[in-house]
Amino acid sequence: MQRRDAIVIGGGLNGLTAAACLARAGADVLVLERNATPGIAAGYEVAPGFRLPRYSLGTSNLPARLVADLELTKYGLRLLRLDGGVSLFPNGSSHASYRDGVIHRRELSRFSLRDADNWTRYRRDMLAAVHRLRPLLSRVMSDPSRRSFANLRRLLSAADALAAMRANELHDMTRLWTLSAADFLAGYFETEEVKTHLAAAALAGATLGPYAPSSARFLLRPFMDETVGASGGAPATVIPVGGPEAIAAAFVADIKAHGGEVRTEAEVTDIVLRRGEARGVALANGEEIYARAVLSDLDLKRTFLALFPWKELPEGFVERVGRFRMRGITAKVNIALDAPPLFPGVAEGCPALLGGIRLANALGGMDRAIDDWRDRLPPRMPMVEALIPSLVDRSLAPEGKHVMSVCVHGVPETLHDGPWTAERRDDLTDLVVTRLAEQSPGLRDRILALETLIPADIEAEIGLTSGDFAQGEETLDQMFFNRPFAGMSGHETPIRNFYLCSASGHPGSLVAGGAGANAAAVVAAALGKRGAHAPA
Amino acid sequence: MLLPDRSFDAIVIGGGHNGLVAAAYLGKAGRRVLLLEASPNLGGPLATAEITPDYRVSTGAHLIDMLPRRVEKDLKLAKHGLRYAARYVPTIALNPTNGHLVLSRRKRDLELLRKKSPRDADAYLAFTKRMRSHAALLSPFLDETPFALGGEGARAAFRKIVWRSQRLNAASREALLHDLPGSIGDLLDDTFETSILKGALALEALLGTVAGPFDAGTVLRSIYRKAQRLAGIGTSMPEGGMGAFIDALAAAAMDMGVAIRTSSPVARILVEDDIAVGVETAAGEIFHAPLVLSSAHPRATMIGLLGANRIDAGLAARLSRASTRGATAKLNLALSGLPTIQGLAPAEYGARLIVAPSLADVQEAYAQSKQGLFASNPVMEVTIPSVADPTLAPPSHHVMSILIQYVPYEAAGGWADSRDRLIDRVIETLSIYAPDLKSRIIAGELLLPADLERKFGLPGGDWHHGELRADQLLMHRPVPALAQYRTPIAGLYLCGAGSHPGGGVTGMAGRLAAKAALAERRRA
Amino acid sequence: MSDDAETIPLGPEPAADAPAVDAPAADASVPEGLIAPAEPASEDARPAGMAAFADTVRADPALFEHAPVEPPFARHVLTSPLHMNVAMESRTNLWTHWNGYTAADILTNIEDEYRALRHAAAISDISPLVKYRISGREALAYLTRLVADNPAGLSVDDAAPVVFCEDRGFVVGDGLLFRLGEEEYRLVTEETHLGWLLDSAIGFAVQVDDVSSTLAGLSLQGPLSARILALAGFADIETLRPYAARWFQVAAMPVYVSRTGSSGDLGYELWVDPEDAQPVWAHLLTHGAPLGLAAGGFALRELARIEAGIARAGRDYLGAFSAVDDDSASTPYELGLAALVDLDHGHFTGRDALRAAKAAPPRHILATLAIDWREPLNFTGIHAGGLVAGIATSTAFSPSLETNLALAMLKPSALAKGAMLHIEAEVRRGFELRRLKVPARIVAGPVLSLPARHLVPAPAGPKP
Repeated sequence: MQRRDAIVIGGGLNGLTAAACLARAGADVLVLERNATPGIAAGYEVAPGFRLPRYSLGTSNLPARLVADLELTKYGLRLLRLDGGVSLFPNGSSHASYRDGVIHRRELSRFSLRDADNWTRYRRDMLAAVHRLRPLLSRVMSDPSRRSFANLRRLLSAADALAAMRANELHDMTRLWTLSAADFLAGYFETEEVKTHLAAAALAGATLGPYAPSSARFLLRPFMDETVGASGGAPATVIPVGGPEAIAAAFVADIKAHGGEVRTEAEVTDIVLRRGEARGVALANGEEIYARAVLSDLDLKRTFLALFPWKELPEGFVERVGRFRMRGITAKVNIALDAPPLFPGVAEGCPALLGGIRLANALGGMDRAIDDWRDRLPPRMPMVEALIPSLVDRSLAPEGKHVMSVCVHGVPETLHDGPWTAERRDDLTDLVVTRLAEQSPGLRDRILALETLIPADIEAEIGLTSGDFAQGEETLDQMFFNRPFAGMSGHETPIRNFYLCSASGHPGSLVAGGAGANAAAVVAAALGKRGAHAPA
Repeated sequence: MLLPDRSFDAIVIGGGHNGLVAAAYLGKAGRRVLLLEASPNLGGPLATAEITPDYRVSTGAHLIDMLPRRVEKDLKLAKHGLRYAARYVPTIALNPTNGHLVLSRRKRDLELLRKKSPRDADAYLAFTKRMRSHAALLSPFLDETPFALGGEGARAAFRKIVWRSQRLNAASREALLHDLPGSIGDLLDDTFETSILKGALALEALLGTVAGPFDAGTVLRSIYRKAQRLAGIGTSMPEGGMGAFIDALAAAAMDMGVAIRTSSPVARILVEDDIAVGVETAAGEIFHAPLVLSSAHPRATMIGLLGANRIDAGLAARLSRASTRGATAKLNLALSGLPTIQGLAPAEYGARLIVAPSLADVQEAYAQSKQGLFASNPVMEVTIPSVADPTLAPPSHHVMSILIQYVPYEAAGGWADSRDRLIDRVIETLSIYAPDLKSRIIAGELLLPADLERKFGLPGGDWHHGELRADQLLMHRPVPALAQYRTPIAGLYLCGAGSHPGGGVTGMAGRLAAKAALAERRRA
Repeated sequence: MSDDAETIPLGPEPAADAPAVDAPAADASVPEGLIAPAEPASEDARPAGMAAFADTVRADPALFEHAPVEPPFARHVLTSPLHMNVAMESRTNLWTHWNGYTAADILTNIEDEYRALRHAAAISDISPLVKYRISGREALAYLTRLVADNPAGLSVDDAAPVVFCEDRGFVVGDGLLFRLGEEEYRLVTEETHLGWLLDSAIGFAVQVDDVSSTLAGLSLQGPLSARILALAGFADIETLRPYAARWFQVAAMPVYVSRTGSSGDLGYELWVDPEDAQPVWAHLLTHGAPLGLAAGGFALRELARIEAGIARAGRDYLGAFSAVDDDSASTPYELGLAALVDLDHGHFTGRDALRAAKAAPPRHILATLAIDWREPLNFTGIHAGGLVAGIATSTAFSPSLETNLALAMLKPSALAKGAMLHIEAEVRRGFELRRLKVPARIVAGPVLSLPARHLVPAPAGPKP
């Protein structure tokens, strides 16, 4: 009977990263993907000849370090760094992010010279915070509640690190991690537009509003992969040529080149257990495959509530899994256009338009949208993010025509007063198109085809519980050693030989592929494979 | 030529409870102390005032629940006239539909909860025990001057925290790490199923804050408040209202030789060669002392009284960025009789009554306050102090004291029009429980956050001189450079609620500041 | 959103940046017309020709504003008000950028420009410098707390070099502080500091405005600069003391002239309305050309300041708010600016930290190095023995001294007695590469500081 070193259930970004890292460490690894292609539905067309990412916006947040470590460019990945997008405000004005420091400061000075001047300090502080955070993210989280000498040593050295920080430095760090985005930004910027633009870029898809304490740390997100040496402007938006499927394709090529295998249309229905140990997986077609280690790239709830007989899990475990908060917040609208959309609010030729647009309400509006979402009301003024990838990659749409990839944030998975009926779905679509058309006159008439996916559709199609892209809300009590919960942050699970490598584990969605790489390091060590390392 | 009575060992600015406590401790240590208060009365928002003639009530806070036994004893407050009309005041969550709930670990009270949900009764015991154990870990820090960050002692201090945490068992540590960063709303949702219980516990955790139930940091705040209560004398109601407490403090201070002058606003702190030498009042009087302690708001002290030109710009900017926001208003009512609260036993009228039927109501009130609206269903803490303390109202008449949570500092469209609507909303909501309330109201008085700011010098209407949140607690309060009570000006100290351990009727900031000032004078 | 509202205060004293208020009424050199009520003048109403300019004073500074009407991305660098004049002088068409503005790098060739500077005079465009107006009842108290030196001694129409630090004593920036009136100052800096200046204004009755776009600057430096100004109609210019300033009326244009500059020699800086900048430039060249006046570019400015031992913010040191860590920030002592620190005049931001820093050994020191090699070299590292002892932050080849100069941030070890410093440079000969090891010596003080700089009356210079 053939026995693999490792099986990865699910070909999402973290699963592929884990498989690639394991394959490179010399493990015989098999990825099992339920759908026809790993990663993301490839070859999706909203109308014949109009290609765009079906579920995601289409930007990439792959860390440069991971791309380099896995040599993804060698396997065909091309990433384009573009200016960071434009926020369009209801009053017709706009604010854009430019990578170039001189231009970005000039853009800021349209609103306030003070804001333009403080950008330097803001950028420096964000980069410093990212620099401090990065080692914490690329490390397997130990469980600080467990009593061991290793743990004590770690805690003591953490204490020393805190003691070595200057008082104001520690104070600033505390502010960044506990304040609301609005309060934190007010320490740097005075104009509502500037604050809204930064908050919108950071909080898109987050379950915290700009007034919610601890939302400030999301402001780090755009800076996660920014290098200190860049010209001093705003962080870039990165788009993979060929869309997210190109990323998956590069990973698959990488895995294959290192002796791994990726099997599609292979749905895992059960984990094969012997004496409480994972021995392999059972597929929907009845086939059983055995392995020394099984990694799940499915979210926590799907992993344990769907793949296991509950009685095999320790007492109280199912309840804990059930308490893990996962709530979808993002709907996707895919649009085919027969002419380029116009944005009169943005100066003609604005390069930041390539990085996408955001229909941002003021901070108060953004906050209200999250409160509505929490109350499970149908969105009234959701934040809308749109990317027109065909502006950059002409092959995505027929000559002169375009595709528009739209994410709508603040869409509850279930409504407080009943199901998402076809009518309500249409209302949502209509709201989004109306809001886009407010900024892009004539848009409605240019739409050739359109498809809306609400969180429930996303759950049904790609198996994300509640359609939660983060695979677990990223609130402070579900991060770091508390992700998914205390005692399980190290990717190991109560089932021997069974590991969690999805974003339900540390570091969550904060670092793309981070959980996969960290889990691979744990598994490789357990398998005794060489070169086990997590990309830093 | 200085008149002899213009020269003191120490001057305390501000006659709030922290200022009085600081002055009393300095006096107790044998210093000649002058305390200067701007308004004609001591105590600031801690006072007993008439709503209308013969109906007296505590102006601001209406209960003492955090005053450390130690302060009470050190200052001999009982000897100086402090009597309690009620001790260990129970807390009752009012239920609009059936059966109010006494929040208590006592078996008899728990039975009420057990009837609603057996699971919650057990969970309540476990929850309160857990929060108490978290709080116990924090409480030693509340009794000492915070250590200086980045300084010599920081390493030892941080390591001590690690060692201290090692004493906990794995379960407690895991619970602490899980609970601490989260929100009270999520924690309560995960723990309980009875909505009245969740609503009441949420309001208890959130009263006095601007944060919402689902905001991160609210568990921390709740643990912090719990820790403050651990050292306290238990929820008590002073006889004669909070003014009586202030009177006792003033009497204690005077007994220790403190000279108290009211109606003497300080205009500036006098400094020579970076050393505080005294103060000048608005009337131009000059008083000299080698020690000056200010219980005014830290920003008002450092930028207003001392002057921005005497401190570094970065410090001034940090001070001005410190957040002071309040969202708690106070409504005091004079009543012609005791309103009938349905389902409440006669003995329970003296309790602390909580009106927050569910977590959703608390969240809704918060969400509305963010938009500058007051809640359609306000959440409140209500007491009828005259039940236990008949001195407050004419016989068989009563006064009611209501803390309304989530009243925005600025109302959408301005407060001028909204004031009366807020009062109506509060009374309507209370009428659900006490239908005859309206008919008994003789007079009333509403203090909005902006009124608190204007009347008592509480910027933003923040009762605590600075929100109690992670970046403004312990070694960060009010800002790291001032966390040890001393300032860059030798001899000048902060002793108000803006300093550690912060707001609440504890007097601890005053006590610790006095201690710090005395210790340093001795060394000098 | 009003972008101009941020840039220009349109408050009760809109003409504050216009010369009308800049010029104190007491100053005899201010012509009557200047103080007369403002009269709006449209662009079209202006007849061509220099003499017709400046008959009217514009009340609205927004009219002078060079705020871009084009979108921010349209042009990477902006053009200064003197761009056309400078372009006319440029025979190389070599450009660089400075503070977001186009600046000529070399106009003719560096030797010619240098010769003009050191033997006659050179004129250059310094409009890209950042200018702040600081005004209000507590302006002096504000500045006393802001800068490390005592500004109280500064009288009206005087200027002083200043350095300002943050709480920990690290230099935020340096610049030239002018006192324009009893309660009005101007701070001219290399980098923008509005955020810090406004943070510092908390608790003071003071207003801080960025007036960069409402003020053009010309620098006239060299031994004949006083004579040229005199010929151009700047009456009694030779009586202007170093660091003093005065209003002049030249060809009916108001010009504020200060005896300042970064050449280490006699020199003046002229501050004018952007509308007047072009005619003033042309006017000076007309009168100066016969005496050898030439226009100079940015490279010349750099060369001159390196010879004079003057550090440039952002190049030779990083401001405290752009430094990524403490090691990249510097105290004034480490930059050799101890003369600009007065620890005893009262409190200023960073004073307590600087008291400690003064006693502590410096972590690094900015010094001038001379590397005796008779052609320009490219180098960065400064070595001592086998170790890197520092970094050259600015380098230049001095034609008159025929030596390479550098401003370098040195480790304290480099200053130790007997330390032998050298630089390593690669020199290409065809396809051959030679690695050079050239000794470097530390020069105490500026390489070049000419006595004419301090003389009053200013010397007229040798006959050309």
